[in-house]
Amino acid sequence: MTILRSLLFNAFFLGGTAVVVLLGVPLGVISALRKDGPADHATRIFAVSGIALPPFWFGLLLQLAFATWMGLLPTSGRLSVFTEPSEPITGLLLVDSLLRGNTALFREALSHIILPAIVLSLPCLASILRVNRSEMVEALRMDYVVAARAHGVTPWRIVMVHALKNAMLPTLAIIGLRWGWMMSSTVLVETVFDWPGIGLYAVSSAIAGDFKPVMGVTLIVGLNFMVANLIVDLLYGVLDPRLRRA
Amino acid sequence: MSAATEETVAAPPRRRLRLAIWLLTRSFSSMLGLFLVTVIVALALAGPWIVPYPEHVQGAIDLANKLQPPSAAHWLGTDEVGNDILTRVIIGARISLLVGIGITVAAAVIGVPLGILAGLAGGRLREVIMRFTDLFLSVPGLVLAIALVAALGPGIMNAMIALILVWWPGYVRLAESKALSIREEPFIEAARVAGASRARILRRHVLPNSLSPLIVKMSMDIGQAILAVASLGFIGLGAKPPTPEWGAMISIARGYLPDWWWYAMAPGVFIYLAVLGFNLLGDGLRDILDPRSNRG
Repeated sequence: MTILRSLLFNAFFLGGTAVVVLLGVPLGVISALRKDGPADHATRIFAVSGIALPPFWFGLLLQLAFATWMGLLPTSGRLSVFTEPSEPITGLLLVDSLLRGNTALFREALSHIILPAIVLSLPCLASILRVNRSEMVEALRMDYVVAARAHGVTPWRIVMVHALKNAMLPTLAIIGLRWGWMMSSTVLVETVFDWPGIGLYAVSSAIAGDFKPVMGVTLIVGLNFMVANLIVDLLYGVLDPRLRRA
Repeated sequence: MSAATEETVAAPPRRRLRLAIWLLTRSFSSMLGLFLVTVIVALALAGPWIVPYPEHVQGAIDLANKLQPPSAAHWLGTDEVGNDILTRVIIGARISLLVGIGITVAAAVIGVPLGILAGLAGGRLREVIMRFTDLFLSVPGLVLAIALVAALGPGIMNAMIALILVWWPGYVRLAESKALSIREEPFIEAARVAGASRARILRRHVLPNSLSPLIVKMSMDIGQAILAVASLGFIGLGAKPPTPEWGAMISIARGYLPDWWWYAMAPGVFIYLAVLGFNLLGDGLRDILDPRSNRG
């Protein structure tokens, strides 16, 4: 259990989540507003590629480009092998280094999570973007949008309140699903980036034929998935008053 | 009388098919998907006859030519024991396609009858089937597949079995919801009043009407299954080298990475294009066959 707890604090998983939430919905909205324009085509091509790119291979490509050829970012691991990690407070290097005021360590930890976070979030981001776009296109065609425009409601308010609130329901469902899947693709990303987390732990145990750690990880990932979907169901009620009574 | 009704029933589908083909050719991304899928299928079918070095398929050893960059003799270079990468990638298409289609078809064959049964029967039987399905859906696919492979032992057959076990619940869900909505349609009631047997209603009315979302889902799933098999191969739980499976090839190529980078390129590009092709084709088919549902 202690092993699992220490492995669960996965910085790039959190980073990936942040990327997905901050980018997926706005890109979907922009794409829907500029339907069939160049921005729309670009985001759609990006979205389809994001789903089709094998994450393990994309990770290798990024390592080659940004770490080996350009030398901008480190290839793998949580820290460089020469850095002594400090005594953990929360277990998250980013938070620990900030709490201690160690900016050098913070910058190093941050540079190590950039590539894995991108690889991890891409498929998730892509499918949220797709769903959000198609729902926004649908919602912007509705009569209540025409009515709101006729009443002189500002375009910003029409998009953000009238259309987006309705488009968010199916989008939330996908966010819940994909968040759970994202946790399972840490398995691949951790293998590529040699990151000591639960995914790599599960894989090395599975290859060694040690079944108990695999069961533990499966349980945790399943639990995370269920909690995510529970949160989504509760948020449904917040967004849609009709569901509160049911 | 019966011949006349048969004819009026048969004519619209043919016209619908023509309309569908016309709509498909109008969309650039659908055509791109169709093109990619056709190329991959053609490579897989013609594989053993067109590869430049057939003896490299099962792993010959030619150390004099190992790790060569792309050249006229070896278009995509050679791997760590001197095998031609182009040859192995083309044969890999055969494996991936076979496994991808196998997983999807097996999952549909298990899932669809269960789903239709659950949707039509209702009551306690439906509860049992659907709760059992939820049990499998409660853990994300890849992790469940890894757990199953860990129990069964690594290997491409076991990876396939594990992925079938992960994949069938989606088809139960789809078939059940389709069967539930079709059950309420007036034409089912009419057929029942006209004295059609349960089996006939199922065969002539329920199944054809649930076919289009099923085709769309299967087309998408073949791509995802190819990706899943490659993922298992990459982490060492799927096909074992020297089997020329794309994921396993990338896994080995990774060890030769910065210096011999072209080794990892070819299998990755092929996975990407195969998955992209099936996804685009599925998207295009959905726009035509099932325009109302637009879920990614």
